[in-house]
Amino acid sequence: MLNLIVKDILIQKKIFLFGFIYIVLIMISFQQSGSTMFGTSVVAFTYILIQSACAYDDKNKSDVLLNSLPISRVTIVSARYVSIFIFAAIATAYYLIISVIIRASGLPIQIYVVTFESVLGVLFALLLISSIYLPIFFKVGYIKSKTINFIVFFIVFFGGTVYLQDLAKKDVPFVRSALEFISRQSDTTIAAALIAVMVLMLVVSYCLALHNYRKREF
Amino acid sequence: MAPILEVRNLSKRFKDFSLNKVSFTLEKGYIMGFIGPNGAGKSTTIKLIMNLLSKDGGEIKILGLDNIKHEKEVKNRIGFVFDENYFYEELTVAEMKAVIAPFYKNWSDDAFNRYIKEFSLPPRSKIKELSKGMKMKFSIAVALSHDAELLIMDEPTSGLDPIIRSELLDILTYILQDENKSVFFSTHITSDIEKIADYVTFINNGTIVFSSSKDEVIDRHGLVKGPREMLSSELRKYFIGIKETPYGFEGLTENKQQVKRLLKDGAVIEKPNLEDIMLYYTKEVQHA
Repeated sequence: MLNLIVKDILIQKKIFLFGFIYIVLIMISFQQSGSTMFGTSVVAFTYILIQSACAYDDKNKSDVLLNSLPISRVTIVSARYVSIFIFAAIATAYYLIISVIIRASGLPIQIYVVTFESVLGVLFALLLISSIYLPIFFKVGYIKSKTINFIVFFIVFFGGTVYLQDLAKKDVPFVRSALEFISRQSDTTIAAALIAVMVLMLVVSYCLALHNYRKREF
Repeated sequence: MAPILEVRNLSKRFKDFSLNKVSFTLEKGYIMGFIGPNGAGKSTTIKLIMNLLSKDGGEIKILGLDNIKHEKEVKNRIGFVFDENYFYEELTVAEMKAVIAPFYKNWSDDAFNRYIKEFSLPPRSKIKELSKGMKMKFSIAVALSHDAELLIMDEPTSGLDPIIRSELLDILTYILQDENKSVFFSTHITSDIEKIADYVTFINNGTIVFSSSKDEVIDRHGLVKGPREMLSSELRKYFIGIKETPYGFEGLTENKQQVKRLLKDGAVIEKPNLEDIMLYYTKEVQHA
């Protein structure tokens, strides 16, 4: 499985080089934004890596190659899910290295530290996007999933934001009591609940992706 | 000992095409040519053998093992060469090898280095920079480096120039010097099969027309040429296909004795080649 992730890194050499510039640009554009700087950098770069790994596989019709090698479909699907965490770790390492370089160079760029909350936020965002995207990718491939992905992305982020703003304005009793309930909980309880939700999303998504990929024909 | 490849009543249905109860057997140490026109079901059969498509019925055994129940074990012991390049074009030969090698139990780096030297493959070149012939050789090097006992090749010679094709056929003949290795080789270029195959399986419209030794197939058939007026309705019954011109006819028969009896000395019966046989069995010629 590790080898499949190494392959994803090898085929994306250029993107990994470009990642440094990309994260620096986000850091410059997100001055005064607090911890959003870290979140946006890592989520955006990891998302690019996941998408482009899928795109390269599709372009090279690699499903035929991978499924002709002695690799089970479980391994192929698992590798894709594990790579989310590895890509996120690499993106975080980039952020930290760039932060150190900027600090050491004394450039007038504001840097924000990485907090536990922001790491949790990054993981939640990445797992939410990937959990929706990967089962679709394993069912129809990159090209067809691109359109669906765009719609999902648009609904979740744009639609979601508009809806939540609307909800906040309306002062719905259920939302108010839910928010009050959450605010009464300790940080640890909230973090634990969030992790539980993430694990659940991941498990459901993985099972769906595996089910779809097992039925796929090439 | 179990055959190296055994396909029994293999069926697969698509909207506009189906594979109907395909059966054939390849014994260890031989090359089987899998011939048929484009769209006859060659690639579908190979994809079913490789479990890239799921079958609707039948049984596939490779080295005596079910190709799905023992998929990993089977794939460890076979090599594949496809008509198109499925390797990552962005990677170099050496990088692609590094990705593939750990998946195989019996991988030998020494063997791989020896083959890429023998095939003049540049290890630092990207796959996309290789010619089609080089990509084929790379696939063969990968298959030989993990000591594959069965090589499954889907149209490996199509699109190659005659020199590279002949070189590839020489490589296959060389592989077969090791009696533990076998090759299953699909193509629509019948002359390739004529040069190297021991057995021929002919598929048309998703159905196996015949599967036997190449010499037996050629000996069994006769290519009959004669004047048109001799073509009686009784004689026509003995032909698989007939081509008629204003001056004469040419037809393929599986019943040389009967045709000889009816025609006496009025016609010539020649030995057909595999291309003649394939042409006459396909519908286009039967109705010409």
